[in-house]
Amino acid sequence: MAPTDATLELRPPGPSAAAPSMLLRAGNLHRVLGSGDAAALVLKGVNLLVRGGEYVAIVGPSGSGKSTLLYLLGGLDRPTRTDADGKPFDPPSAVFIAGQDTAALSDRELALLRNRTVGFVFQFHYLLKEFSAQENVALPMLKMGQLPHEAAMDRAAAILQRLGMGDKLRRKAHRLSGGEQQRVAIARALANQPQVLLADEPTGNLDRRNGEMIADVFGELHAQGQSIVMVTHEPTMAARAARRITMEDGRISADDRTP
Amino acid sequence: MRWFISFRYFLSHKRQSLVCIAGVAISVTMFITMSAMMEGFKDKFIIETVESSGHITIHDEPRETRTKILERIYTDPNALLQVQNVRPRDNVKKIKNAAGLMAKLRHMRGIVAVAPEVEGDVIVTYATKTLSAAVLGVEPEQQILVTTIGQDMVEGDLSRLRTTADGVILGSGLADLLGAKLNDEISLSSNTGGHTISRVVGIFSTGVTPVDYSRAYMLINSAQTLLDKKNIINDIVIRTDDYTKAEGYAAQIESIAGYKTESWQESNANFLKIFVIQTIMTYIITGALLVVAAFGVLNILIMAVLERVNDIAILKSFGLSRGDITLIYVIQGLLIGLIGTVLGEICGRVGVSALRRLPIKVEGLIKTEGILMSDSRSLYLWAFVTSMVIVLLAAVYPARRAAKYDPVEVIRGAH
Repeated sequence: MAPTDATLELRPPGPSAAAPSMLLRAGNLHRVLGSGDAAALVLKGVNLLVRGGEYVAIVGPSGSGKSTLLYLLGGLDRPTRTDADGKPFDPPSAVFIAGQDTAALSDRELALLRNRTVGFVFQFHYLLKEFSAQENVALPMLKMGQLPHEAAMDRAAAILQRLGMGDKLRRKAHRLSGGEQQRVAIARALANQPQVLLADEPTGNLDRRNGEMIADVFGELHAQGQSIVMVTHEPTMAARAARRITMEDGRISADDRTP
Repeated sequence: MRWFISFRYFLSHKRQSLVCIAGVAISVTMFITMSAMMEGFKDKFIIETVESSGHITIHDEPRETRTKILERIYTDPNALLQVQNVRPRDNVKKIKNAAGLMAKLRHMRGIVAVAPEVEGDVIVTYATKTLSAAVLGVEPEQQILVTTIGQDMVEGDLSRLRTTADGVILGSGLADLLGAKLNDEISLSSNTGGHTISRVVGIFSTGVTPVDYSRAYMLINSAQTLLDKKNIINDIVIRTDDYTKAEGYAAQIESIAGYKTESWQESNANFLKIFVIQTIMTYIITGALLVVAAFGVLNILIMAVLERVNDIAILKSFGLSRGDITLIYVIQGLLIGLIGTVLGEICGRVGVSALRRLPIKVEGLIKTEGILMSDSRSLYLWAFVTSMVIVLLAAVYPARRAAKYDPVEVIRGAH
């Protein structure tokens, strides 16, 4: 990944990247999935603090609540506020993103917060097949509305070049390989210089070589100050993170840091 | 950004979009041509009727508003009332002081011209043909100011009524049925015993079949003599500055004149009711076509939503709100509706012009040499508004459905 644009800023502006600050906070976090007899308590009072600049890997067995926690931390989902009897949790089940209580935000405000603060990468790339790689990356910028169309497209091209995709800017998503598609998805997640990159099994659908390439990209981004929270099953991926949170049965069972 | 995504989605389903656009375009074309045809006939009927018979007519009778004496005394509607040996009053029906009333009317605001008429039924005989007809005795110079009889002459001249003793002008249909031609002599007999031999000095055609087949014009003095109505005026015909306001003027005049005063709308209420029903039926049919086209739009957008559930999830993940997602699909509906409607308007315009040129003779309530098509711009505006509203309503359901997708559920489903 040879940088072609030295001035291109991928990591977020402001103090969060450089100085440790409260970036994400979950307090007594509960989440029930399903309803009625099928209702399952997936998160059972999770407390977690992620500071700016951290590289966190969330690991654990399937069904332990890793992805649910990640979606809640990114404001893609909302916590369950009351228990099965309708009684509010005490203290309240809450998520703060960059200091903002997601419970106090409307759906529209939460969507805006996601657009400006968070970048998601999923196991499946979810690229929009009608759009080129460059356009896919430009879309979050166009939503943010701070850059005109041409400028957004230029920045998208620069990010893709930075991730080694400079020669495939105009290629439609379905004509890219799995690794390339995931790199485009990472570029899209980085488009608005998010304060935190949230990745859900980013290498889960890739072969080993492409998986390692994505792991390298994450490592380099973190080295530049990008905060990353990643859910993974892969021990080698998790080993690259400075902090590893292990989840079991909806709770955090271990929180290890590599010195 | 929403337009950018909508355009790209729209273009990605060219074939389905084209089918939808064609459906909307055909519906709008039908809407315009059917409405133009219907409105064309209605307008022609109204104009011909109004112009050939005047905007307002004062009749020589009071408006029947009083309750009959017996009904006032015996109010039970089920009572059987029988009156014997009743002798009706032998009233001669006429407008009293017609000249004074006309002078007063000429000074009223909104009144352009007034003309007196005497009317009566006659038997017309020419050779072996005998028919009944309505004779109108008129002052030619005044009559041409209140009706279009002067322009409706197809043979002869209205002014010849002045120069030919007992001259008569026949409706074209009546002349055809009799077989009478210009300058032929015909016999006219009234039910009061009057009789005259008249020369045909003109033939008129208003285009309104009932008028052309039953009406004859004579000079007012000649008609009064024939009908035994010396110095009697039965009707006063009035032309106003705006025929659409005739109802209001008629009510005003009736309060002054004290005689039953009918606007053209009241005189032709039955025909106008038929037109209302016809209008409703036309709009139901064309509306149904538009609804069917809208179902096509609904169908393609639902398919588009189902195909792009993952897209919706990812769009939401990077910050698009429910409103953004709704708009993306509504814009697609808008594009289909807009292109289809504009195409339909163009095809409708072409269709109206083509139908107008078809050499078809129509002879029914009105007589024309081709299909009458309205040129009203409001038809195109109505077609546009109706089509766009229906198509956009059809787009709302899939758009709202798309907006409701929970991105987490979608992403979990893909795992």
